[in-house]
Amino acid sequence: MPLTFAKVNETLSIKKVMTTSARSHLKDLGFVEGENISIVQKGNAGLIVMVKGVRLALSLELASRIYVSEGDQNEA
Amino acid sequence: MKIALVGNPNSGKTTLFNALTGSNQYVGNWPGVTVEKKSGKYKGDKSIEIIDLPGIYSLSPYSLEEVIARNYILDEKPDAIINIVDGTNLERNLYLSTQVIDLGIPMVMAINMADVMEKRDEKIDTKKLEKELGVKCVLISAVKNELNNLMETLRSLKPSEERAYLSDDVEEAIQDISSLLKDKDFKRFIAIKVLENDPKIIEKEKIEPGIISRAKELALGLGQKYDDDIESIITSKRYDFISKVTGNIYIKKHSASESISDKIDKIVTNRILALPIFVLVMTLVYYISVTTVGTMATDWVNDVLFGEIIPPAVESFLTSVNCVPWLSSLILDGIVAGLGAILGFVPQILILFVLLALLEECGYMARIAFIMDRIFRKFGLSGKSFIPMLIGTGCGVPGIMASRTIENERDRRMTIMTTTFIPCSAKLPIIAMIAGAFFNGAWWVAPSAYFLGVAAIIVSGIILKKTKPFLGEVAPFVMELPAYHIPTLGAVLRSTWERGFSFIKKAGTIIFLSTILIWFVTNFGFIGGQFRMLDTLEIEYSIAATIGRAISFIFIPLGFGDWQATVATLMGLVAKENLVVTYGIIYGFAEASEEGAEFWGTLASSFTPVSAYALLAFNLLCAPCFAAIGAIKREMNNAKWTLAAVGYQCLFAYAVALMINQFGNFLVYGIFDVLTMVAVVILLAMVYLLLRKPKAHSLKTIGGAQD
Repeated sequence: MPLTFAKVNETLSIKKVMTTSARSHLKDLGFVEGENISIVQKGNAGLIVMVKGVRLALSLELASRIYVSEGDQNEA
Repeated sequence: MKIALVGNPNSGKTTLFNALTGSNQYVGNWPGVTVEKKSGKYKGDKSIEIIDLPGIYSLSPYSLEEVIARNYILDEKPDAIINIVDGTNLERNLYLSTQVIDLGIPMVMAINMADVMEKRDEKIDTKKLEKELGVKCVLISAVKNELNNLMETLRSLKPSEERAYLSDDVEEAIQDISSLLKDKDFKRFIAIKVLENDPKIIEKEKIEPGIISRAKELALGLGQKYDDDIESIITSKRYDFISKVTGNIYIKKHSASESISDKIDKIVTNRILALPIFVLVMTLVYYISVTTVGTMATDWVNDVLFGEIIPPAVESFLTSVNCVPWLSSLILDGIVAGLGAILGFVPQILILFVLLALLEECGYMARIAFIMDRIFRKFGLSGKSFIPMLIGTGCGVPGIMASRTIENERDRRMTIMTTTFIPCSAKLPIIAMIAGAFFNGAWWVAPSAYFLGVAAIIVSGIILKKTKPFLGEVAPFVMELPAYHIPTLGAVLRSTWERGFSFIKKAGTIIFLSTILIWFVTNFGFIGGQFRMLDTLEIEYSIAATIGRAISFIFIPLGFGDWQATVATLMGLVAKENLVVTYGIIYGFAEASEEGAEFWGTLASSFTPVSAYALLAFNLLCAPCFAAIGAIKREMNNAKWTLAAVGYQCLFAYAVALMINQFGNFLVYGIFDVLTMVAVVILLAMVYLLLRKPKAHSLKTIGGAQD
């Protein structure tokens, strides 16, 4: 499911980053397949997420391009 | 010896830079762009120059900062690199480190936050890390100034050996390209970039078409194998390597729980509370810097220091030494007034910079961008553009300088160009004069001036966004939100001092020189065929008046084509409130009140309410005062952009004032002539510029940022 549909404070795993002009930048920032991610806050402007130990704010448009699944990748 | 400091944003890079260089710093801009450049000499050895490169996540061509950092390394070939990484978050920081290692420049990795790690009982096996990465690693704490033997380690560095740490198939492809590059420097780094089809590197390094097509072939093969694009493949191989490394080197790892920052963010960026909190913070900033402390300090400098203390002292000194009148006038009305004009802004600027530094240091500034971005994006501005505009209601100079907190070059230029449309406090006397003399002090005149300013910003934002230099998809919004922390006094003072001093130095010169020029053209002229210095009330004979007569025809379509209005407008360039003062002098009231109530009657006879409002509109929107133009020049760091900004403002002001005058004349007096037609054409042109669809081809922006 797109990141925008996920619940706050749950450990999620990134499945795929869809094509956007910022795709490679997102990957540089740590949005890579298999990486754990959690949503800290959902606001009007977008989401605040935790990836690789850093808080990142991203717009809803970008968040909808990131597909995640529930559960910790490393525990499976 | 030249050393470059490379690291992620928020890794403590600036703190380390300050700790290494102390006060031996030079702050400027990178050539041709608005990005700040800092360099300095090492405290312990002045022959070592340290360059603080912008904080970046990667050496890709995504952002202007990344391009600046890597171009610096490729062009200037620093002797060594200090790569600062956050020890509490190695995994993320090592991503950039692997790319720096690819460059092959001697490098030492400074693992920062040793103190925090100790507190958390976290340990890193640096020996193992050194072996895995092939570079020297030193634990430091930049905040506590515990730099251990960082600099000693640097001196004994050898070039880092080339390492093949990605997967075998990718390494093979890199080798393939690398062998074709023959004797180039930074072979491995460039080979990877060519493989990734990085257009900027290909152009810069003049890569032959043969190599490019070979790289495409290899990239295609790998792409099919992994079902992904080559950049993503290399990225994930990098991360694979990093997780393998970090899995081995942490002796103890702290497990993250919900931190204080998360809790604060839950409130501050909350759906409901975000805006009220933002409004509250902004009100505080405005209240302190514009209405209370800032104004008090600036008024003191302007009215007391440069009103009651210095000028009388200088005057009595000049009288006591029998100084010739023209020289004493030059010193008093030119030089002292010029210095006053510069220094008058300083207290307000410093107070503002303290507040901005606090907002930045504590971490709230990053949240502002996040909260406001969506709204401001619509007219080509950034969420952070709000602060310059708010400050601009007090004074345009600190307003323009507040644009420093905007990272994106285009957003920043747009903000600089439009900030002074908001009426600053020096424009209030003009508004009061026009309202009093022509509209019986009607309540709506002042709000209409602010409305005009806001409308000018929105309209300009939309129009300019569709022009070539600003064109392009709005960069999708993603940014790091640093953890909240209590700002340190040192960091706040340092940032305030740096910004304040650079204003005094750079903008000061232009203000100073233009004040002297204006002094000359208004105080000298021909009377009875003789060129001499004029008395105050002889201004109609001055060079300025002569120029005014020569160019006043320009303002005929706007309804105020006489030399008086032209000279008053010109004088407004020194300081906007001078427009009122000048009218006072022209009408023989050298000592008029601030709003010029004494000569409202005389003034009313030379304008209609419509043309008076056009005069107001023109002076609110046209080029700001010299001090603000100086600030624009300082911030744009580019003569062409400065000219473009001021030129645009004048043109826009002219178009708006012309429409006000012509449509006003038509609606109020029923006058319809050729000029009314011109106004219609301008209106149509403006509507077209607002609604047109920009050509949808890819464009290289001046800064080179990719969209």
